[in-house]
Amino acid sequence: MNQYELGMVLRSTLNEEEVNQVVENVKSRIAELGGECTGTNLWKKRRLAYPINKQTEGIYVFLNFSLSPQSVKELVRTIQFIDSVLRHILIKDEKKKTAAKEKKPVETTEIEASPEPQSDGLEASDSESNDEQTPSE
Amino acid sequence: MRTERDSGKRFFRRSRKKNCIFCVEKGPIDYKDINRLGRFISERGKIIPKRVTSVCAKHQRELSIAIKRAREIGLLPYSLD
Repeated sequence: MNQYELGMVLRSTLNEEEVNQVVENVKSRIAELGGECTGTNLWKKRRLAYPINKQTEGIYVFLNFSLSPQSVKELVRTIQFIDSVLRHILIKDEKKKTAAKEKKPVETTEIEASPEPQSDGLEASDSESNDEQTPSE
Repeated sequence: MRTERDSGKRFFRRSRKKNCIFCVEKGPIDYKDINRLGRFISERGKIIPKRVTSVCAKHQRELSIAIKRAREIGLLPYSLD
């Protein structure tokens, strides 16, 4: 399971109900594929930086969810078929990705000394972030 | 060599103050945060080089990705005139 963030630009002609309908539609699809939706973020109607499909305004919706990498393609396909979605963007959630990464490599690559590298890895990442901090100040 | 050329005058390379905004604020650069990203594009909509904005290399890379993502969904322009 990976954490993803899905951003969608919806047609500005939709009213509130229709927007909710689309969001629910996508959410239910995520649930169908075995994912779990953790948060939604609905923006007001916004002017687009450039016209998309002859539309100058759009409604932005952002969904956070976890989903297995295999079923992401399925989800994207269903989104592409929704007419009221002008654009969409699907990215891995950075913060949660790092948390998931720390666990995984230890299990797969270094089996012999599994408990130690785990702590090392955590410390290393901590010190890295500290290194960034200090020179800037 | 260059520094001792004229009459004992010495030019020291001043250590530039590191002032990458993203180093100070920490945290990942979000492509949705247009107000923040908007400061790093020119009037033409181009990404401003890091030598101008004094963003560090690491964050400039992250920033450029964020700006490109924002462009993709129409939050930021590809070009302005």
